[in-house]
Amino acid sequence: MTIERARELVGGIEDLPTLPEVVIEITRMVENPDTTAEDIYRIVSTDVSLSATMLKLVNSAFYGMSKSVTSLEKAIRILGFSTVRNIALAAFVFDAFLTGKGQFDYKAFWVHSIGTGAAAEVLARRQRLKETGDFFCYGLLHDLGVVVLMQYLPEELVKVRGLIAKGERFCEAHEQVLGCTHKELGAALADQWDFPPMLVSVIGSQGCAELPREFSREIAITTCAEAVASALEIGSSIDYRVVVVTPAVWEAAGVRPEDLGAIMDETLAEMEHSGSFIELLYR
Amino acid sequence: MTKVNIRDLRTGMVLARDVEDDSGYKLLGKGTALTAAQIASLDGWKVIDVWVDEEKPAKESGKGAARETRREPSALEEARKRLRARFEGRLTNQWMKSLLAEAEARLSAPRFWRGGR
Repeated sequence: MTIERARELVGGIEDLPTLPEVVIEITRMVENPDTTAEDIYRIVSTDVSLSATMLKLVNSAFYGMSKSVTSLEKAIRILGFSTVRNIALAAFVFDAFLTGKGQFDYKAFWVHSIGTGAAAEVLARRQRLKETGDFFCYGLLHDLGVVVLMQYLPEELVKVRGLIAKGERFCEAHEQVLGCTHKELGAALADQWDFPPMLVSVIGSQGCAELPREFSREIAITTCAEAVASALEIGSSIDYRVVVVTPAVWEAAGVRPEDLGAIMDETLAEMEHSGSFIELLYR
Repeated sequence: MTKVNIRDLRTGMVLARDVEDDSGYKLLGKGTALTAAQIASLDGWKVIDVWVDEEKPAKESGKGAARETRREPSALEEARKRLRARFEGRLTNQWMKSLLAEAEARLSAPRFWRGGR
């Protein structure tokens, strides 16, 4: 099974960042029904840099809020605990992989991820879904597998690029060289870090292959969001071509072809809102 | 030959040297006449410099009236070509077609995060 291969590859990586204690603690607390917002805030505030990233993420992801959220404490009270956990995880990954070794432009990659987050949030909002901030996180983290390839598997990356130069598509090249998809790589890492199942499933889904017959709305929205971000050329991903999204997936995300103009405008507006988060890339 | 910034690359320019990323990996070979797809494919890789052949001046017309020199494709036209290259073979349903059309219409929309591009 190719997912086993992905787990093997991830398991073999020696210098993977470990989840900070604070993040592990947040996950534990979120599962305890007696936890209060104050409890979570107390723990989060012990990690100054994580808190700072989380706050910037919150301000990017909650476009609906009329003012900037100036206090993380307030944000934690307003958001669901599950969303707070997703934000903590997203902030951790973002900080851990802000820059990287290798040939890829990490800034461009993260801008693309932020763009996917922005588009995902727009789509979730249009569907009147709650916890739209979660969708921002799904978009932000959807290409975690690419990070694994870039950071930790340089020899394989060279081989993959060699095949692409000969005309292979990225996904086929990746499977040929590594024995698994880049999505499975990301899911294996998310799993190793004990990410919540929905997040693992979004990170592990689609890519170039078609979705299985049953897929969640979260996956549909994240998939469509990536196509929107790519079409708008927000940052760069490892494949310069736009992924094909099938009608069933667009429909599951609640999108008709005539909606795409408005969706793009809202995504661009949301990117403006993400300014301070994007600034983190250039500090 | 002249050094060109990636964002100033135009289709038809001929590479005077290999294009490599900063790990020395060769992306495109010397002598390549750049297509929109190839320019788009450079996105995201840390490319240092791109060297292209000097463009030959337009042939002088023997006739009296001033002849229009070969029209340079505008930056917008180049952007449109690159965008279409991203959708090559992907316009398989109405949504994908609409995605391209709407993206094309927004090519001039300001993107503050663009930085170099």
